[in-house]
Amino acid sequence: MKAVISRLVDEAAALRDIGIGTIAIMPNDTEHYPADSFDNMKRFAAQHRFTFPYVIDETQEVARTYAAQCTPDFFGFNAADELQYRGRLDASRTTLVPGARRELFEAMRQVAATGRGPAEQMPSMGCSIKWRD
Amino acid sequence: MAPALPGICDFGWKARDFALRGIDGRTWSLADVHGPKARSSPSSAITVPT
Repeated sequence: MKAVISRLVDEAAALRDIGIGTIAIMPNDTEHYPADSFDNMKRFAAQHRFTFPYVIDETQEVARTYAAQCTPDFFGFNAADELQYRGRLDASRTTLVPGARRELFEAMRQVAATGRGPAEQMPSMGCSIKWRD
Repeated sequence: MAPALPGICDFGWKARDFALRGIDGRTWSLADVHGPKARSSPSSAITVPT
């Protein structure tokens, strides 16, 4: 996650500029993983200058409902709240791939224009969600 | 690194509403993050590092 956070913040800003909102949800079990505590979320957001809401899913109900698998995991919806994107941010993983296609941004720009996401999507990769049980 | 549902986008799946506490003290819902045309919602997006 640390490897992609600056790109994620940049892409969220770019999406905002074309009228697409973003929210970040922290679903991990904070009881057994105190590094993910609410206070640390605040520090993390300040350190990386989040410009979008950052919320905690304390019961993990939202993550389960959305069938989230890992962090980061991207869900892109159209104006009717229909899922249209479940891919990755871009082709980079732990290190930046020069010239990597901005897959999330391009997909959501398409969703904004047409209501539909791209047929081909590459899954996001990340750390597994820390479930309570 | 764990893959997230490889290659699967359940097109048309309807987003469920939520009410979650933000670091700003506000409770956020799905409607709050709507842009005028679409929304990018990186659910479970951020893991706070140690």
